[in-house]
Amino acid sequence: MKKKRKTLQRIIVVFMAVAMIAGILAACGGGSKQNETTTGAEEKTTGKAEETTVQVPNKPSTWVSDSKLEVTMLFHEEANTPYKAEWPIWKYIEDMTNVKLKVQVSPATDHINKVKLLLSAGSAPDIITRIGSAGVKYEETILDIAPYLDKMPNMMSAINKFKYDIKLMKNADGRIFQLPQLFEVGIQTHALFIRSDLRKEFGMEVPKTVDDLFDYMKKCKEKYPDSFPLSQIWKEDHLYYGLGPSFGTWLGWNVGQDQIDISPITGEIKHWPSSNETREMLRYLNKLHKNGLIDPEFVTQTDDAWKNKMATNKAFVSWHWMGSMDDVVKAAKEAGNDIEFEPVLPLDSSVTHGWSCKTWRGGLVWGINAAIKDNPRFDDILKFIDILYYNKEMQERLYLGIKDEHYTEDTGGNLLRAEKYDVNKGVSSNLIKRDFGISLNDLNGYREKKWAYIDYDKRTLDFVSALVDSGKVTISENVDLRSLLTNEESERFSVKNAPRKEYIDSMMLNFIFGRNNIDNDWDAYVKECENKGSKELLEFYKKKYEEYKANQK
Amino acid sequence: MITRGYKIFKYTNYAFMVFVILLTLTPFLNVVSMSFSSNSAIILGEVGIIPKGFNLGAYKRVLADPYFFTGYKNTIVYTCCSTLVSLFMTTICAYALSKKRLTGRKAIMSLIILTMIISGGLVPNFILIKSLGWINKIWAIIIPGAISHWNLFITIAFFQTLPNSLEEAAEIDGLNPIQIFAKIVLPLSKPILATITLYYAVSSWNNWFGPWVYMTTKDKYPVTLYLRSLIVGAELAAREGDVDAMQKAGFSPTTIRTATIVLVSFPILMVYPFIQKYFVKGVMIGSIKG
Repeated sequence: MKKKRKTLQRIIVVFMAVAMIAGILAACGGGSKQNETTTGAEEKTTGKAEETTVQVPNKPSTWVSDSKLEVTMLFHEEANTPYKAEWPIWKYIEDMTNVKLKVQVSPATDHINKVKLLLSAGSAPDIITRIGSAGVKYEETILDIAPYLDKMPNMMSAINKFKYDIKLMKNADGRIFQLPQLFEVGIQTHALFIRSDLRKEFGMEVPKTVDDLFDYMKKCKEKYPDSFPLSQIWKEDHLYYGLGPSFGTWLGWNVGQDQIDISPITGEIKHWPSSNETREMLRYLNKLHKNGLIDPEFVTQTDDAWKNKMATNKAFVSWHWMGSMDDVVKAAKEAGNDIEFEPVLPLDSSVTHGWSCKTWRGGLVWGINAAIKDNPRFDDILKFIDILYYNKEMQERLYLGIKDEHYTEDTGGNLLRAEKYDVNKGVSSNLIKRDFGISLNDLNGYREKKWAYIDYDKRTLDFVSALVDSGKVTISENVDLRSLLTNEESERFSVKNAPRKEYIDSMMLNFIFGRNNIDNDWDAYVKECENKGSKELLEFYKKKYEEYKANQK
Repeated sequence: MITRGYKIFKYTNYAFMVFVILLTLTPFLNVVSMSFSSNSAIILGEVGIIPKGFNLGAYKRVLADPYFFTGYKNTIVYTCCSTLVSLFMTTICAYALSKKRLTGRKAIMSLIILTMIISGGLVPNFILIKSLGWINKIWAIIIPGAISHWNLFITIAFFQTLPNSLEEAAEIDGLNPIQIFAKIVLPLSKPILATITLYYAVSSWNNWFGPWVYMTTKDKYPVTLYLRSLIVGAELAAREGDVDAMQKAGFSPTTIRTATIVLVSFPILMVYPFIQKYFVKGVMIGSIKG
């Protein structure tokens, strides 16, 4: 009897466990069903890209909803400009369009995961910001706006006005899943910083080549033997981002995880970590290491440790954003160390093709939830999105604010912030954003040239002008190679990306710090990269890119 | 008689314990002193356990943000409600499961153990909560995870140590099971109740993930989510070139971070000395019998 009862109990437990597992597996397939209504987008398969000819209206249009409409948005909240419900911009948007923008806040720290979760669960808002990096399956969840470009006259007008290449918005099959930021100019505020007081003391000119920089750092080392003149923050990707273009290579922040991209100068597609250009860059960094000129701790050090070295004569050279050295200078001066940093124009090398850095005129930022196609007010929602991001009057208000209250215009046509928010008086450009929600990046789809300069101080603008005048800036407007892959292709290749990158990161540091020899061990390194999938992916990208170019003709 | 050897041991022991205390206390004191120091002093590496360039700029900045107080209020509300609900559900569940005569007890225990190994996943959980209409509601924070496996098992183990004769005597006196539970069992269970209250309260206080998943408006965020956004988000922003000039104002992301850490952890630090003994007892419960 006891035995029979035990057997029965076991059967019940096994049955319930199987039922639970079956239930879980059934639920896992439930997410995609939420988006079954997006069959319109799913029906389109790869094929020749459709030529989208749109009758561009003579001028952008405005529109007001004839009845109250609510549109939801997933708002990417930056730490320095936290969301406030009381920002006047929300009321302005509603007053101008009769549309209430209902905002769901997503902190920047976990925004990508939030986007993936909401799309997978079929609960995404109508507008999703910063969708580009989420890596979601667009075909199932995001609206293809290619068939609806005629409903977005403001966007098309801005594209024509700023001479933006609409092909950059398209996937290989001509579909468009992301809305762009349309900026008249790109502004690059990342630079190499060196100690100008030391340079003047040494009687040296501003470095123009990597060899000049080497000589400068040697002098610094002679004066401060315990120092390591070049110290970088945020690990090696930041160093490669700054130094790489001087050697004609695109690494670090310049490239995605698969580290294959199109050179904005030569148009070549390469696997950059195994290129000859990278080899020369690593040779140079190894030379710095042999001469004690590069900080061995730079890969792991914290922000505060880096600032300490820069303020106490333990380091003198670093790549960073404009304005980032100000607190270092202030701290040093308070300690009686009168130092100054100056930004340096991008350096040339023996490898360089006469260019130095790339910048972007905005990017692909917003996605629209495909579920809105079932909304009876679908057309109105599209019109609202078009007005919100691309209507000049709306964007003027959202980006600049109210004239004579938040900004003024001088006789030369230059725009200046009100004194309380004037960046030239040491005020952060984030202050006006925090107070009014003005000038937020995630609400800015249209930006004219003179608007762009309003939130940069004179020092930054002088540097930007010098950069442009040097002819060393290239606007990177190539198609993103990742967008040419189907979801299956992307999943197939992405499996090898992480282990390959891990190998490459460690080998590049080995070359820099002399643990591997740049001449003897290079071929073996390249071979190993190929074994880990770089060659296969590179050939595949080249093939897809040729198909893409053929489709654009 | 106290021998010389014992005295040496005693004083060596004291010295060692003081060393361990300093070792564990120093990083915390460093965080506190950084929160009261100037940005320049931090950059110059001059801040140890005593603030340098004393200023309250970071605290003023944090306390000027209304969402900090909203977050704090939410954290207190979520912690109190979660702890009460969890305490109630855990004790009644544990009491029932502590009775060996409960039909299907083994099957239920097996299922509970199964859920420790297999989880539905984040997306199905989100869909479930959404279907219940709990998105952006406090129930989404309280109900999922209301019963912790670990706390349930240690409570079961504790209830099993109570003599059956007490309950039998109460039954003879005419009490029903609910009255026995409320009037006999619970008063005897103060140690375990204090232990699991502490565990649930600390867990709930630190919880940011549930609110991040289920809350859609910022006025429902707890202070821990606010803190996370501040700490991690500031570095993300700096990497994208968003150089906030608060450095020029005398405080920096570091002082803001440390000030927020102090403000968020302060209540737990104030309460913990009074309930520490229950925490220690709780760790031992279930391992020592008799």
